[in-house]
Amino acid sequence: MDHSFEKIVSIDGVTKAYSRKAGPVLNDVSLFINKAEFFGILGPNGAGKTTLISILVGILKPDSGNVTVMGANVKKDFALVKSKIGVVTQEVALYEDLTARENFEIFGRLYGLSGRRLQKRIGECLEMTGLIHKADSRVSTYSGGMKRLANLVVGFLHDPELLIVDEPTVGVDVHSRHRIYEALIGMNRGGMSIIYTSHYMEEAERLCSRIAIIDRGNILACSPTSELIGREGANGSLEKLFLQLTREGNDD
Amino acid sequence: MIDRLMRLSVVIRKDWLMLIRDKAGLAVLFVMPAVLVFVVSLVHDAAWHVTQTTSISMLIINEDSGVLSGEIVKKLHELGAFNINTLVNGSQPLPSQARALVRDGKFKVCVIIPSDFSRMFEQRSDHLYQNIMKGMSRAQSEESASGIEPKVEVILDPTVPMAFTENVLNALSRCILMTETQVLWDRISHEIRSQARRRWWRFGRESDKELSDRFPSIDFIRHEKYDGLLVGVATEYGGGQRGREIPTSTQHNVPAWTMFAMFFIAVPLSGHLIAERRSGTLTRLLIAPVGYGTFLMAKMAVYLVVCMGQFGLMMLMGLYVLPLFGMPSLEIGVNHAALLLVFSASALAAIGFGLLLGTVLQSQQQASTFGAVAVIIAAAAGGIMVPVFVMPVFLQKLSLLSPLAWGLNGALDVFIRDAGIGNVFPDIARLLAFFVVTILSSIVYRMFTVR
Repeated sequence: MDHSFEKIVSIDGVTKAYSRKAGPVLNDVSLFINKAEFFGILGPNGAGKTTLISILVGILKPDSGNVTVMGANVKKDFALVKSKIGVVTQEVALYEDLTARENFEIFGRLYGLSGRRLQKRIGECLEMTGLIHKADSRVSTYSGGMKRLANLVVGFLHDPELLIVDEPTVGVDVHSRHRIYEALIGMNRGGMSIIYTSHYMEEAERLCSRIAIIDRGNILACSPTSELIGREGANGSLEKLFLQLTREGNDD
Repeated sequence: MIDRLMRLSVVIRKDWLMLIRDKAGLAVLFVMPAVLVFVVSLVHDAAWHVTQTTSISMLIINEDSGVLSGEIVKKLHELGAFNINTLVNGSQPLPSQARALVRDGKFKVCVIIPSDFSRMFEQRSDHLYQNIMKGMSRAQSEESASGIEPKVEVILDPTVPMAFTENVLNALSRCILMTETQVLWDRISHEIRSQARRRWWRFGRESDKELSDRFPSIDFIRHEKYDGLLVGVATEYGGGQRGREIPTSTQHNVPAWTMFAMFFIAVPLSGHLIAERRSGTLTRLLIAPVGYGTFLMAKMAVYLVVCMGQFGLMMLMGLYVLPLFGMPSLEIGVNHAALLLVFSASALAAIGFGLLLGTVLQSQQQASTFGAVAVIIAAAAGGIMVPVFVMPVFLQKLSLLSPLAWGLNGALDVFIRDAGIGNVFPDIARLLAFFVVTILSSIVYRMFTVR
């Protein structure tokens, strides 16, 4: 089933400033994400990626512009689609004094799962991430990579239509990173739309079908990954293009 | 609605699990107040006994063999206000040894009656009586008796409180006054007999015994009708029948430290809230369809249970544990519903304070430092450590602003004054208003800071 041209997210002219003095963090940003797309957002620190994601998940409101997620305007009727979105936060946002299973049960229930369905889904996710043997240990006893995996599970446990993943592989060893990649690729193949932010160019190249490069609140480029790599100046490397675009931005 | 309640129950379960997993936090919430109320009640109880004087040991060195000094010692015994000793290691110490014993803290007070006390006493009373009969003024009489001054020496441990010193001196003065009165009365009786013998011939032929039988000396000091006071003082306590028994250290400390424990939950509560905010779990909850109001309500529910648990534990301490260590048992009054309302309102006020701190402060270090200091200041100003009435005037005014003072005042009203819900309503209303203001402030602050 081809979902390529069905928009799941539409961002139109969004501006956001935390204070007048500091200037806008997002400056008239417009982009869209198609259903079942693996969409990457790349940008240096302070580019506005996390602010954009916070607006997408409804915890920040844009000063101007429109954001629609699955047809719902985030300013007006976002509550309707909230449960269809999953978020994997940049920090490991888990209750460390609770076990992974207890964390999954709590967040699963908040997303409406219960009973056997919840337990079955938890089992699947634990299997997928290889956390099954530590499921009943407190998260505080986990390694950094295991925490990241558990953090990832909380985001997609309820099988959302749209998964927003904010730098999930920071400080993660190679094995855990590969588990994260496999889990994300598998879900995307199953039809889940994924928005992925990262500092690592090679993982964006590997995972994302389309990428937006953002810096100082402006979208500098937004195209299919292959197209970006093929651009003049990129020399077949996303990293070179990224450095060129963001350097130009900083030179202004 | 059902959906919201379901989410609330999930967040409550999460908070409950977090609470019971935090063993150190639980110790702060339950063990600390239990230990505090035990230790402070014990200390206050000892201080209470000091002001009561009965546990204070008094050494009496009576070097006089006369009747009058014996009378004074006897009267001090009869007062029953002191633990009186006359011998140390089986013998009467010398005055110099007695001074050393007081200096070393073995006795809090020593009364030394010198060897010539009774003789001087009789001389002086006789002299004064003669002067009075001669019609001399008081000043003239005192001047003429200046060489005859019987003295009782009192040596006090400098660490004893002023109130105790006053009690000792008052008791001693009273015993001496009673003896003086008896001596003067005997002198008057004797004079009546002498006058009768001189003025009426028929008494002049009677023997001393016959005359004494006719005009007997009245030992009115020991007369069963005489208790040393001709004018009675009617005393009544505001708390009715129970008033005379209270307040005890238990009666003050149990509600006081329960209030302190309840408000001290502001420290772990705000710390947990900040930890959730900083770790991103709060954001994750808000992204999942949980409103900030639901998040706060779950915390309120869990910590209300904690506070009522503290209340129950402290009541049990007062009722059953403190009496095992010789302290008075807690009297919880008759209006249990009013008591429950006062403590429930106090718990809500404490929770509101904790949630406001957790919303406004930025780090757990800030919460533990600022929260603890704020609670200790509010407790001190609120009369938790010492009663409000002994504080300077400006602190008394400040105490009106302390929610701990409102809670404690309401609790003491129920414990001591048998107050009902109507009587404690103003305190309950203040506490609930404080709760509402802190919760609204938390929500408004968050609305303006997270946009």
